[in-house]
This record gives sequence, C-alpha cells and structure tokens, in this order.
Amino acid sequence: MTTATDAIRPGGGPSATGHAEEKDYLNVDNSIMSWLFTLDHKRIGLMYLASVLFFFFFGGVLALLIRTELFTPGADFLTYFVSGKNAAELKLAAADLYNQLFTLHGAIMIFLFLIPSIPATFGNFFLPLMLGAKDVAFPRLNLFSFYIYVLGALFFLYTLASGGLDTGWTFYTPYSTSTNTAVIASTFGAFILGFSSILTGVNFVVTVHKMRAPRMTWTRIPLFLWALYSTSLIQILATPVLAITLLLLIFERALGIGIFDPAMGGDPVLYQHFFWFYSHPAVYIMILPAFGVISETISVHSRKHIFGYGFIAASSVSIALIGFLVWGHHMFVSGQSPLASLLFSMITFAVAVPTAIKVFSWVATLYKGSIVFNAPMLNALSFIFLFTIGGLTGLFLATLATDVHLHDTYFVVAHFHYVMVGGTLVAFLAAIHHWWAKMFGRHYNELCGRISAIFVFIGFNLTFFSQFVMGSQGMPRRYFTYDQVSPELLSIYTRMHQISTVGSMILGLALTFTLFYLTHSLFFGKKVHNDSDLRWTGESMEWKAATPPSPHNFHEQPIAYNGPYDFKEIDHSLGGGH
Amino acid sequence: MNALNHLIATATFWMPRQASDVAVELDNVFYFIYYLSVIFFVGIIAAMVYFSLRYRRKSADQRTSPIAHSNTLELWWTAIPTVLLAVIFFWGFKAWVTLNVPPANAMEIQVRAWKWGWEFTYNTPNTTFTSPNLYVPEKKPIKLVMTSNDVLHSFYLPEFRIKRDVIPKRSTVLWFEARQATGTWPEETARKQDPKTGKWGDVSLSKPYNLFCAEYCGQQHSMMMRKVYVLSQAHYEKWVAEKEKDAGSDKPLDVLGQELYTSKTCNTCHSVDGTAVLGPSFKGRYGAKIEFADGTSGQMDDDYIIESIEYPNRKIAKGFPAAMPTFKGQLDAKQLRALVAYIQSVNGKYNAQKK
Ligand code: HEC
Ligand code: HEM
Ligand SMILES: [Cu+2]
Ligand SMILES: [Cu+2]
Repeated sequence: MTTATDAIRPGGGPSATGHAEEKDYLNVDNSIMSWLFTLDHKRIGLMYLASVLFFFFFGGVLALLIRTELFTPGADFLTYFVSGKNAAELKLAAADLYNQLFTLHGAIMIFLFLIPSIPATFGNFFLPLMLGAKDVAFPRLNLFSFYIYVLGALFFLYTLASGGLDTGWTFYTPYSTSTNTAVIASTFGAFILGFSSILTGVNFVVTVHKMRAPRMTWTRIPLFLWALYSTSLIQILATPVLAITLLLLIFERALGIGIFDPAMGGDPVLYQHFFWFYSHPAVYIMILPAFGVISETISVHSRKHIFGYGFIAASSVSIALIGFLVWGHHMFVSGQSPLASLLFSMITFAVAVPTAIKVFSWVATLYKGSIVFNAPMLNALSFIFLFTIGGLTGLFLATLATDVHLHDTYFVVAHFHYVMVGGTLVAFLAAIHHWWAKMFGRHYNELCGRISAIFVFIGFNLTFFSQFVMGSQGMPRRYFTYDQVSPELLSIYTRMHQISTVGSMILGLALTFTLFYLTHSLFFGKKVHNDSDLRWTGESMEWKAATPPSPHNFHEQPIAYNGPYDFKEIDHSLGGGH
Repeated sequence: MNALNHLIATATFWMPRQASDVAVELDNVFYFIYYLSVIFFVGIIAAMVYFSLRYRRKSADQRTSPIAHSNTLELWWTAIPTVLLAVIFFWGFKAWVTLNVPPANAMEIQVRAWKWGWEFTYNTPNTTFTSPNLYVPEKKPIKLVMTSNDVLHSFYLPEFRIKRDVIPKRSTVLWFEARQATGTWPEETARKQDPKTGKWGDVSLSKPYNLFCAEYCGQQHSMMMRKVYVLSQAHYEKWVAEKEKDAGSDKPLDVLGQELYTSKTCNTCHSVDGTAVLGPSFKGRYGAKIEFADGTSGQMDDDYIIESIEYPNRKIAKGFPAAMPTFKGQLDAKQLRALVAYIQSVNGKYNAQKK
C-alpha cells in the first residue's frame, strides 16, 4: 500500500491467484478461425469493439472534412475534391459532396457507432461477467448478431461506392423518395442492422433473467446491467418500427405505393411520425448504457455506494418506457396538430425529471468518498459536466415557443452532440479505461489517459459550445455555405464556425492520441500478472474473474454475498446509512 | 419610443435582432430557461468540483461514508425541478399559442417554395402580382399561406423567431407582425454597408431581415435565402402600386422574360453569356442543333423551350445532368412566351413586332 492510486486491492476471489500458467480467453487459441467462429461473448465483444472503433474514426474523418469546409462562409475546401467546368459548377458539385458527407457522417455515427457502441462491446464483454455467468444465454445468436451487423455495415459502405446518399440520416420523405442516390441500399443496410440490434437485445434480456449468480437478487444487479436491460427493452420494442418504416420507404421508392406521396392520397409528414417513433427511443438506446457506465465508474473511483440505487435503476426503466411517448417533440413545426404538440411537450418535460435526478445522484455519490482523478474518473466527471449541458439545452427544445426558433438550427446540432458525444462517447472512453486492464491484462499509460481526457474535454467544448451560439442566432443546420446572410449575422456565424473548426481539430487529435496509446499498451503496456497488479477493482463480479478472464469466465460459480457497491472502504460506523 | 425600439432591436450574444413583439415574448421565455439552467448548472458543477477536491483520496485507506440514499433529499430534488419544469412548460405553451393564432384582420400573402427558391404572391383588389423577396408593411399582422412544389422546405425568419415547414400539396400557415420600420424605400434596398464600421446605414431596423430554408431540401438548400423588407405603410403602398403597374402593363415580352429568368431561378443553372453552369447557357443555342443524351438530336425552337421548361426530362441535352426541376403549373402561357422571347433576345433573334 504505497501510493494512493495503487492501493486498492481486490477482494481476491479464489480464481485470482495460483493459476499463472492457465490460458485466458485471449491466448487460449490464436488462430483466425478461433476468432471468426468464437462463441465466447468476450471475443465477440472485442470484435465489435474493433468494428465500432473503425467506423467511429471513419465517421470522424468525414466530420473533420465538414468542419474544414465550414471554416469559411463560401464554397472553398470541398471544391478541391470535385471537378467542374467553372466556378458555378464546382460550387454545386461541392454542395452535393457536402450533403453526402454530412449524411454519411450522421448515418455512420448513429447506426454503426452509437447504437451498438456500449451495449455490443462492453455489454457483451461484461454482462455475463457481472452476472457471474459463463456466457450470454444464446452464444450462437450472439455471433450471428455480429455477422448481421457486419453485413448491414457493408451495405452502408456500398452506398459510398454507389454514388452517395444525400438524404441526411433521417431519410425524410418526399426528398428521400425523389433523390436519385442510393436510398434503397442504405435503408436496407439500416434494416439489416436493426436485426442485429433486436437479437442482441433479446439475448441480454434473457441472460439477465435466467443467468444471474446465486443470491444475485434484482437489487444486487449492478446499475450498468439495469441500464443494458432497459436498453434491450427499447431495442426489442422500437427497432421493429424502424424496420417497417424503412421497408415502407423502400416500397415507396421501388413500387410507388404512395403512402407518403400526397399526389396519391398519402401524407409526407406521416413518415416523420414513423421515423421518430423509433428514433427518439433510439436516443435512449444510445444514452442509457452510458448512464450505466457512469454509475459504475463514479462509485468505484470514489469507493462509495452509489447514491439512490433504487431510483437510478427504476429511472432507467421508466425513461425507456416514457421515452416511447415523446417522439412528436421533433415535429413541433412540421404542421402536426397543436394538441399533439402540447402533449408531446408536456411528456418530454416528464422525462427530464428522472434524467435530472440521475445527475444529482452521481454528484451526491461523490460526497464523503475517496476520489481519485484517474482517466476513467476524469472522463466520468467530464461526462457529468457535458451531459448536464446537453440535458439542460434539451429544455429549450422541449419548450414549444423556443423550439419554433431553435428547431433545425445548429442549436439542435449542439444539443445532440453534447448528449451523444459529450455523453455517450465520453462514457465510452470512461468505460474503456475503467475496464482496460481487466479486459486485456495490460495497463494503459495513466498520464496519457489523463491528458487525453482533458484535451477531449477542451476540444469538445470549443467545437460544440460555439454551435449553441450560432444556432440561437439562427444558423440553420445542414448548410453547405452561409455567405448569403446579412452582414451582422455573417460575422457571428463566421467567428463561431471558426472556433468550432479549431475545436474539432483539437478533439480529433486528442482522440487519435487515445487510439494510439491504447493500441500501444496492448503490446507494450505493463502486464497484469495477478489481481494485485490492478490499479483498482470493484465489488461487482467482473472483478472476481481472473485478469484477463479465462474462456469460461469463472472457475467456480461465484455467489453474490453482497451488493455491487459494498466497498471495503465504506465505514459503517460513520452512520447516515439506511 | 424610437430610441427604445432601437435598443431592444439590437442583437444580444444569444439572439439576433427582434423584429416583432412576439420575438420579445419568445426571448423572455428563452432567457427564463437560460438563467434557470445557468443556476442549476453552476450548482451541480460547483458541488461536483467541491466534493471531488474536498474528498480527494489522500491516503490509500481513506474511509468513505455509508450513505446510500436519503428520502428527504430525493424528495426535494424531484419536487423542485418538477415545479420549475411545469412553469417552463406553461410559459412556453402560452407564448406558442399567440404564435399559432393569426389575428382575423391579418393580410394574406401566398408563399410558394421549390427546389430552390421562394415566391410571394400578393392579391390586391386590382390584380395579382409576385415578388421573389418578401415586402411587408410595418405594424400589420401578416398571414402567410404556404405550400411547396416538390419536397419539404421550412420557412424560417430568425429575426422574427418563427418557422414552419412548407409541405407539397398541403398548405401550412404562419403569421407575424413586424415592428416599426424606420428605413425608407426604395433607398434602403440600395443602402450600402459602411466598409469602415461594417454598419449598415444609420438605422438598424431598416436593414432587410433574413429568410432561410430550415428543412434540408437537397443541393442548394443553403442557397435558398431571400430577404424580408419591412416598409412604412406609405412606402408599402408605393411599392404595391408600382408592382401593380408592372403586372398590368404591356411590358415587352423579353423584359418580362428577363425578370422571370431571375425570379424563377433559371439564372442559377443557365447563363446568358455562353458559359455552361449546371445546364447549358441560353446563348448560342436558339435555332442551333441540340444533341440529346439518348443519341438523337433536334433544333431548339419555341416548342422545344416550352417542352424543356415543363417536361425537362423528356429530352436531356447531351453532356448535362438531368437536374432541371419541372416548372409545369408555375408559369402561365404569357410567362412561357416571355421566357421564349428572352431566350430569343439573348441570341439576338427576338422580333418584338412578330409577337
Ligand atoms: C437546377 C438547375 C436548373 C434550373 C433552376 C433551370 N434549369 Fe433549365 N436545365 C437544367 C439542366 C441541367 C438542363 C440540361 C438537361 C436537360 O435538358 O434537361 C436544362 C435544360 C434547359 C433547356 C434546354 C436547353 C438546351 O440547350 O437544350 C431549357 C430551354 C431550359 N433548361 C430552360 C430553363 C428555364 C426557362 C428555367 C427557369 C424557369 C430553367 N431552365 C431552370 C437545369 C436547370
Ligand atoms: C433532458 C433530456 C432531453 C431533452 C428534454 C431533449 C429534448 C430534445 C428535443 C425537444 C429535441 C428536438 C429538437 C428539434 O429538432 O427541434 C431533441 C433533439 C435531439 N436529441 Fe434530445 N433531449 C434530451 C436528451 C437527449 C439525449 C439523452 C439524447 C441522446 C443521447 C438526445 C439526442 C437528440 C438527438 C439526436 C436529437 C436531434 C435529432 C435530429 O433532428 O437529427 N437528446 N432533443
Ligand atoms: Cu427526441
Ligand atoms: Cu431547404
């Protein structure tokens, strides 16, 4: 027990020591086939990890191209990538390219990164471990989901080669039924991806119900699993609606059935109802797992019982369910009936309450804790900061009067980046650092981790806070140029876009740096020989498995004698408990 | 009064100029949420930072508190936000009702949107005329009845804080009332920016306001910008009279055609100087042999021009994309003849006598 960070020793389960020669899930078999056909949830989790990271960086490069173009008001940067006979033609070709870039960026980030991100990687890896189970309930289905994901992703990439989708990730009709870009291929890709999401959801729900360790009651399930459980419910209930919506869109385009076509008695706005009925719950697919990660990291790195366990668990489920009733807040100016708008606004505020309480509970968890500023904790604190801004700005959008002004401006862009990047991505970073040593048996460099957390925070805020300002000043989203606006707005927009672009470069560098030192540590990081080498451990069951875990997770069935947050450091003589 | 107007009319860090009284009301809601948010945000972050520093791990075996929940605390931090959120909701709702109910005496203007332009149709007792930009009288409720020719668009005036989607084959309604105009017309439209100060004219209100399309609609979505001019009643009447005269007059066809060439956005794709933009230039084509993409060819005559305008995809000029939107239904017979006349005149082949 020397330094503060090194000191937390594990409970030392029976499997922790004494099996030095034993194979772990990584080196048990090194052949390619053993990976491609693995049924081990941990390996499947890692294959997802590699895939989502690949798509994340690909989507990120697209974002940097977009930001570079927006550095100046006119058409500049992108004109170098297109051909044309004169300036006007160049400008229009660049406009097409821009529209394809933001569409691909959004679609890749949402469908290929954010939705699978935490559940498919850390969920797959840790859900069975945290339950004290050998694997998920249906390991073959799990592998199948992965391949469906790969197939769907390939379809998506096909849209790149086949002439560029330009509808935005939302595929609004009638634009999406009239543009001559690869709408059918890409919606079919999203359709396939949906199945992957549904099957993973089913797998997780069954696993949580059926495979908990002895004595692991529902109130001893770690909050990360409550979050995954709620997410899975949404995946199962909402994704079929997306599938139907996308099929209808394909029929509409291919066969001209006319549901969304006013000329044939259809309704173009109907599509938006279908779409948001899935896509609002989908934002909770993206954020609930992040909430779970934050609950774990905050409590482990402050060695305290999470504050308000019951409420956090219940709020995950209730957010998941009420989240189905608020989709119309994306349509306040679409011409939907005023009564509908009124109700949607009201229910949206109802969801904001449990969300706020989660934030309060995390902060309260810090009270009288033993807090250490390592990389996962810095990311978790950064999450609280950023997500709070994201949530609070949601209020401006949920309010009928202000949303009329802010809808479809950069204010919305900033809002959802604060929740999805500041929230989900930062939680993803917290998770990856929190569990890295457990997963790979090697340590990443702690100093690098802290530097990365700080620069991600700085770069992120520069990139997206400026977008709130330009948004409330009226800058519409999905704009290739903004040089035609009146001079006083032009000067504001230009300045804010420039800050944003510089910030995005910092963010891009910080994330590349993170990828670099993490990859480096896989090969050269300090090895974890036994559990006492870990810089920290928790009380939930994944910490009781060997490091890295053995192929079947545990040697003996672990038993949940205590809850996931009953840390040794907690001093029950201090009182104030139950 | 004027000075006061001027004062509120200036932009703040968060919001652009306020062009209407409704904008003031909406900004009040905005700032109410804003200050509440700031208070909560500062409170949360202050607590987070304070706890993190105060309870930083100083020794490896630092003991921690067993507190796991507190009913009182949880009750309070549920109740207080709930009440505040209800207040925000109601205020936002109230302001929004005003926004949704056009006064009975509002003056109606028809709005048509397409890929990629806007057109405003004014019905006066004498005649009907159109304008590519929106001209409105001050302090008079204006009701816009909007529809789209093709895909969704969204009519957005940031300085008025209003927005509404524009939908094909359906009409949506929006209304607003501009505050006092202190500028004059037509001088104000010609007013230049002072290169030294960057200021426009002497009175800020006389500057035109921005009109954006806020719903993504394809290639030139970001170039679908127009202006809103607020005129005093007297100037507005003068403008209307002039437009009426134009509409009723026997203006030469080629001049009318030239106006349509810009107001109908033909100029974004067709030049008149021989350079190809997205579509072929009008110059040098009239009477010439045109090669089509399918290998056939034909001559450009009046019928071909009209066919191209109404059914652009029937014959695609070789070397050009099939990117021209149809204008069928948007141009009456006279306007079509006018465009033909203009294309003839660009090629030096217009004969006013012949008609
Ligand atoms: C979005 C761009 C766009 C707009 C706006 C547009 N056009 Fe076109 N136009 C094209 C393109 C591209 C072609 C060539 C392909 C084709 O023949 O359809 C074309 C072809 C034509 C032709 C045939 C020319 C030739 O040399 O063969 C005529 C005539 C024409 N347009 C007239 C008009 C008029 C009049 C307007 C305005 C009312 C207009 N266009 C608006 C893009 C446009
Ligand atoms: C307190 C919580 C939240 C509230 C009150 C809220 C409210 C809203 C509202 C009203 C909109 C529609 C704005 C508009 O288009 O005019 C919106 C957009 C959006 N929100 Fe939230 N939100 C909250 C949290 C979240 C979370 C947690 C996520 C995801 C992780 C999220 C993701 C999004 C996305 C992606 C959009 C925009 C989608 C698009 O138009 O492309 N929001 N939010
Ligand atoms: Cu939503
Ligand atoms: Cu548009």
